[in-house]
Amino acid sequence: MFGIHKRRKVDGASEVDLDKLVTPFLDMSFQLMAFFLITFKPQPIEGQMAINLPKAEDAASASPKDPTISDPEVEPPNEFRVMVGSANGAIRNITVKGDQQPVPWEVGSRPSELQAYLSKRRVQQDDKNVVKIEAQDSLKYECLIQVMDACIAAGFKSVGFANPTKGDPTAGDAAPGN
Amino acid sequence: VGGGAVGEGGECKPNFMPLLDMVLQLVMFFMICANFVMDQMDEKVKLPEAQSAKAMDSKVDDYLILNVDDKGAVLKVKDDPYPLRTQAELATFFANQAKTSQKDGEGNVKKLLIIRAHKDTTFDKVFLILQAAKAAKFKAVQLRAIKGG
Repeated sequence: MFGIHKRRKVDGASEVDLDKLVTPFLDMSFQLMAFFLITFKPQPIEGQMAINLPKAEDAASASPKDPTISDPEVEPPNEFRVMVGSANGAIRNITVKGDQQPVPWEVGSRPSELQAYLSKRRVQQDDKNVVKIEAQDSLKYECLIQVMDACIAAGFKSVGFANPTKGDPTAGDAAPGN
Repeated sequence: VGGGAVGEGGECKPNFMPLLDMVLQLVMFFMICANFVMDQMDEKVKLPEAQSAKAMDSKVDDYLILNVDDKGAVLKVKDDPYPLRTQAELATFFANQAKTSQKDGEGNVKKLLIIRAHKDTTFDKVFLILQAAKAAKFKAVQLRAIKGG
């Protein structure tokens, strides 16, 4: 290694014992290794989740759709509004409302139930699947990410947030899910 | 560690070269894996887990990372002594950021906003940041999470 030979004649007169040169090198290497071993702390791998920024005003109220006007060229988005109620920061209840589901539908309190519900209602074109999460203001960010995760896993890549509500947005006339 | 020449009347010397090779390989491994201190990443911020979190795009070079602690305060840098707490502070901060950033044809800020929020912070605090970013014409926003599953 490094072209080091154990013994080399210098000017044919004196000999340098390279073993003695290697020893401090080895010592130093061990010191470095010990330092890195002690300070080694693997970090968890971070990932990214893209979101749609909240609209300044509700698009539906700004430009109300006229149901009598049909545009065959433009397919309407498959949009759902996911309402999440909170109890001490955790998910209390999830209710879904959308074009396919005009009456709010209670899907349960687990993100997996939401995922199962949404995955049955997604359309083939990914960009048409849109979800807007309307959550209670006290909901923990961890739970919000769980809901968002369920939506993305169900094929709804376009996720946005509606204004947080003071009270439980799911409280009302939601039909109980199965 | 052996391997030195042994002969009749000759001395036995250990061969350190393979050991040295191995140690240097290990040192190199740890040097490569070492986590260099990054001012914008705050390890106090515990991120939530998400299975659908995608791998980070290394091509993005114009970005702004904001850490949000468990109380919802926005830390601009690591251990920020003056975190942003109110809507007015956030609005001023994003307006200043927008002034110094490149914009596209529609006047939107090209800079990518990356939010690293603590898992125990509440939705209203995160929404406040998003609203302020939207008002300052930030368009691209990412939430960070630990890749789970």
